[in-house]
Amino acid sequence: MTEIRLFEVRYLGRAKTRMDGSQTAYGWARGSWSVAITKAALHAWFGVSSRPGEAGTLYSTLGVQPTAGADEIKKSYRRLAKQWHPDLCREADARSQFQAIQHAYEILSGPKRAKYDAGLTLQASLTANRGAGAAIDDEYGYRAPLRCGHIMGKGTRQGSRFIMTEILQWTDIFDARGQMLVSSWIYGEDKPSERWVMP
Amino acid sequence: MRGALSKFDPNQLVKGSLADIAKSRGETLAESFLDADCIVIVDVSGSMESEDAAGGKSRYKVACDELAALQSTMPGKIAVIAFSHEVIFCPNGVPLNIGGGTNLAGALTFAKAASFGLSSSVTANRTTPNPP
Repeated sequence: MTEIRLFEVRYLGRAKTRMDGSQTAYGWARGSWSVAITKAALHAWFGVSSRPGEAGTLYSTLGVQPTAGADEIKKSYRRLAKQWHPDLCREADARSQFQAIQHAYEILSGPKRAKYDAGLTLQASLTANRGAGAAIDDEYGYRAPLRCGHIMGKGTRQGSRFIMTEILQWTDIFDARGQMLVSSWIYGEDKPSERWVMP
Repeated sequence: MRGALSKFDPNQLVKGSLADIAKSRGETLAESFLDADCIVIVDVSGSMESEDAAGGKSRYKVACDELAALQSTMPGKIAVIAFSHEVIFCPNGVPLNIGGGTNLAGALTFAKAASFGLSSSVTANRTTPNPP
């Protein structure tokens, strides 16, 4: 039975292919990997094309749709910059991710955006099997731009896990002092690392 | 005539083409397009197969040779669009040989959508466009 549930996801992993063939990202909530979000749901939420051969875009880097306004782009940039700042995020590729976010914002917040959109139009005109750029997924699976948050979505319960197939809302986690959660998982450690920062 | 044209491999990557630049930088075509200054629209209709250019070359081969030289000297600055009865963006720098009619209006409409921020567009065409 389809339900709508809200989870406080303290860390969201990569969307990988599971043994049953599904492609899901496990979320750490309520002390266990109690929620799994499908890759399709993540792609839809963060504006990523799921068509084979199509590249990620600067919009998907910032987790916004190509139709996003300037305010939304700025808001998303600030949010992601906090999550991936190398001084706050302890993941190994935090610096490169942060640079990619800055690069995306530099293009999409300025006069180059129109030209970039024109380039996307040209790119989209190519057929999928000619290839339009690098795949959005790397060998480890798709990683969403955000790794934590209060995530509300539709899905079904399978055993002890809620499988979320559609994301309805995703907001940051704040503590009583108004600080925002930044979550990262360092390779080799047995749990995510959490830091609270002023937004 | 078709045999001569088949020497051009549409999968070939011209040095300095948008796809070549994108590949070397590890970026998407849309990002490599940011540095482009010019769109070159190339007629690849059936008439371009005529081997009446200097040295007995086809008009198509001459156009491809000149485009390759241009992209090599101006890497990442040229976006190539090929047209006949249809219009195709050719990021590898080689205008795809399509044959058929000449839909110049369609090509210009397509190019207009991609012309933001570009200083110019150039049309290489040797025939009379099809009537609208």
